Amino acid sequence: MRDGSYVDTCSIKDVSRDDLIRLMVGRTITNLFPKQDVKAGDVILKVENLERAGSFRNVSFELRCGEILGMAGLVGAGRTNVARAIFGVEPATAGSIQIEGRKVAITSPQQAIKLGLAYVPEDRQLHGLIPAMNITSNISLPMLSKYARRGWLQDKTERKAAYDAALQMEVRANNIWQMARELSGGNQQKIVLSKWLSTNPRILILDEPTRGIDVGTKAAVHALMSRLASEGMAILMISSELPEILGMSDRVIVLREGHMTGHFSRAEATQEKIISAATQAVTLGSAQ
Amino acid sequence: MSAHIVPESKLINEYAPKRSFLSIFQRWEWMLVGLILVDVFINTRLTPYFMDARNLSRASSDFMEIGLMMLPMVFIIITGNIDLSVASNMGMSASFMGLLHNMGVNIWVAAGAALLLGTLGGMLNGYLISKVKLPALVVTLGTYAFYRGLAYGFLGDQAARGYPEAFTYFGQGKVFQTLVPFSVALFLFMAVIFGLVLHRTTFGRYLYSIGNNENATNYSGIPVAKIKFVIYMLSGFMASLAGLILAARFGSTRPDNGTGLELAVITAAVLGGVDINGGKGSMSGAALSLLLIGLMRFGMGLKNIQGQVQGIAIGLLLIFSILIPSFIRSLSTVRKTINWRSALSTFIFLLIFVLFFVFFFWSRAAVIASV
Amino acid sequence: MQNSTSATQSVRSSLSNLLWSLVRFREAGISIFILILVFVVTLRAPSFLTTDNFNDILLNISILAIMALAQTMVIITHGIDLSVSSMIGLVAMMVAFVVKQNPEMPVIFAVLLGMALGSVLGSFNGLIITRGNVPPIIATLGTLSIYRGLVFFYSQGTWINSFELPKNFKMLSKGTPLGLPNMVIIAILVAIVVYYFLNHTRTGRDIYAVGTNPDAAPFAGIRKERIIFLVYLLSGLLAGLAAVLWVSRFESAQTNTAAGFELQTVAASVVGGVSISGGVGTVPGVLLGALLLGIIQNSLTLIRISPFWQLAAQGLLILIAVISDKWILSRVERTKK
Repeated sequence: MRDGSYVDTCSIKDVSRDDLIRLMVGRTITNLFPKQDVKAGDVILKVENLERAGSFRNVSFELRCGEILGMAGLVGAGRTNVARAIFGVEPATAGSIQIEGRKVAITSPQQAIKLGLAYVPEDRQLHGLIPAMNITSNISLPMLSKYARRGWLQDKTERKAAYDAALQMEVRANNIWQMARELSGGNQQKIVLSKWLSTNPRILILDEPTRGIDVGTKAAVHALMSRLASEGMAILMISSELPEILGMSDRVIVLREGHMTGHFSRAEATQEKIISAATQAVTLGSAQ
Repeated sequence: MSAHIVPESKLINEYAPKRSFLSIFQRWEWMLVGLILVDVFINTRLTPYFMDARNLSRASSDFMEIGLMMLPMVFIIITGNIDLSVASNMGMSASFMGLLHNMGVNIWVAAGAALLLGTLGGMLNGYLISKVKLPALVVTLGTYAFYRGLAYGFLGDQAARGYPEAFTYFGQGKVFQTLVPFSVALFLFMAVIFGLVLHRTTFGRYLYSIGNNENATNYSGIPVAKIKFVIYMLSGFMASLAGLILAARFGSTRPDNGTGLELAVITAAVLGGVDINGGKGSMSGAALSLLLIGLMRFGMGLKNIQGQVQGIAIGLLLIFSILIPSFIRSLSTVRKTINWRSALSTFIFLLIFVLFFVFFFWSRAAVIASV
Repeated sequence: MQNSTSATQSVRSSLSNLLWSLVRFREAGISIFILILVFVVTLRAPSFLTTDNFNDILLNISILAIMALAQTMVIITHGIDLSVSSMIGLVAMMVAFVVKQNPEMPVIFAVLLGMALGSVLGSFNGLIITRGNVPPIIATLGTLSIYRGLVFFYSQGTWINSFELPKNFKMLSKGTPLGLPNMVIIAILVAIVVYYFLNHTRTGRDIYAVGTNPDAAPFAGIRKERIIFLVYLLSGLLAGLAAVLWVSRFESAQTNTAAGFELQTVAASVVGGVSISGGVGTVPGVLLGALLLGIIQNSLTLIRISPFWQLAAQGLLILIAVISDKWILSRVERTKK
């Protein structure tokens, strides 16, 4: 089935993986991970010895404009905690964060957004969406004051901005007045992405961006990530899916039980190396 | 293997879909309007004094304290919180003013001090709830007792009396030459402001999103803690304002003024369609429910039904306002077979309740007869 | 090679251990607080540390303890029962009427009648909450008004006096055939029964389950509706018992009997460690909470603090209890790793 309509019935032996994907999505996807090679720009985010008591310790890495840094590890390794610390939801208790060379103490999401950060959370339902509000209100939320005039809501401005954002992401819905909770997982993720992209971030943190969504949307999200990176956005991608990590990242760091246990470039990274770093302590690989 | 062509699904349509004419009337506010009309109809048949302008004018001012406190309560409940301390704050502020006045302080200075104290009270609630992150129910329960205690502490068993007429005008006087009491005009003015903020500003939008999903709202960069602090501060301010109006209306202050009013405020808000779990509600609904409750009590008062007994009707109204829509909704899920078990148990309970009331009236009869 | 799933498992079990140790800690904390308070008060007013005074305190808190236990069970299921004061008032008036008309009736009948009436009132609450999907705070707010109104309607403003009540009824609460006043013994019995019920029966543990994770409970085979209905029924039943004791103790039944009492029961529960979001609460904790409230009230009178400041002190106490609780919890969290 696709988009609510029946497509086809076939037996397993008659159909290949590519065929299945084409039927599900409606077009051929040649490359599920369309990662272009981008020349990384300046260091925009630098994290040194970041620590939050009880969650993670000694996390250090750099993120450059135009690159995608993959953060791998098992569930519970502390990756989301690191992201939340950078985004100001659960601030770090020790260590430093530098944005464009300037040390900053990030203590709230409001501040993080002002500094150019955006965070697409792991749990859409819990942290990403307002389920009982409509698509427009969801997308416009972080930037609502920009669409308003001195605090007074300007419906037309808000609606146009949200509509444009949703259209760009190719959200599939009946209309922009639908409630967020009525949409499919993939569409919901598109809403969350539109929301964050409308804040014009320079650093985008994606936490399990393709979890629980269909193949077509997944491909679209990856294509989006590539495009954003090529336009200069710095992306930190947390993922538990090895193919995604291997396919999309320029560099990979691995966390295990709150510590960094691996740091690999795209060339060095292999499934075995990442898995072993995620499950037992290993000396750091060369990072470039 | 065959391939089917599937039409492209629709992209987003910018404008709202047309809603049927009838569905517009399914809103909560219209139910309240209907109830108001029913109530007016019944009451005018029962007594000629109901539709009397002067009576209405006098009765309406009774409700303005509840109304003033209800306005920020709507904000608070929409965010999924509660404030049980409003009536105690009201009493505390009024008592403080009374104390100062008894000590000889100028009434306007005393009133200003009272407003300040009430606002501080609201700020304490706000701080404990938003910064220390304690549950709202528990904090406001504590301040419910604490502020009422302060009220008793300020005035003890005396009352404060003798307010100058310039002050009591605010509780007893009318606007210009009309029959509209000042307090009603004040309430209407405030209601419009609160309503506009709730429905037409970013602040109001934030309230709804906090009530719907506080976490996601926080992640979206909205200063949730600050907003919660502000609404509790507002609640404290309006409570103290209500206290001043009450004092002006009675011409005196006692420390037990307004005891129990917080429940009336919450009842009015919830009856007005404000969902106790947060995220839903409108100011117009709240205002209409206040009007409904006011008219009902006024009508019952005219029939010499005691205040407490009026509570039976209000309590039933509150419960049924939630029960009936829920029941209707459950009817719409079609069930082919009746659940005999639950039907039987419901029947048994009804029987028990009937027996209860039989006992109620029977045991009562003997004693009442002998009195 | 360390297995990380066992690591997360041990984290989870240590977390629940932590929660329970916190509860024990909290009970220890309250006990210490009580001891300090007793010490301080005795310095100011030596008459505090007498058996007479203790008797007084116990008498004063017996009814509160019973109702706090009832309220605790409700709160554990993530609900609240604001109507307890009106239930007590209504049952008190009705039982008083009946006792007045039938002075020869054995006292035990009065007690049973009270519990039966209370159960009916409680089951009404339970019904509208479970079948009607009315949130507990709304439902009990409504019945708070309804039942109180019924008291007025029932009595038409009259009240029952001491001389209208037979002696054996009055002795129900105050008689001391077993050394302690009956009322205190009854309260202790109730506490034992509730303790056993909550901790050692399947239904009791289901109550905790419903409060901790209401969505998962049906999957564990728990009849959520039944449990929730039960706790409100029990709340009414105990309110009925409390009503009989109230009339017996104060030797009167008035239209405003027990008005405002519901908030004291919530306060005793909260001070005793019951979490308002459900799932947490112990019988000893609640009893300590009631005891603390009783001691505060008693000691304030003894130290001759004006009764006008007592209410303020009680409110302040609740605030201090929850604030320090939060503070302790955050401290413990931080030193966990």
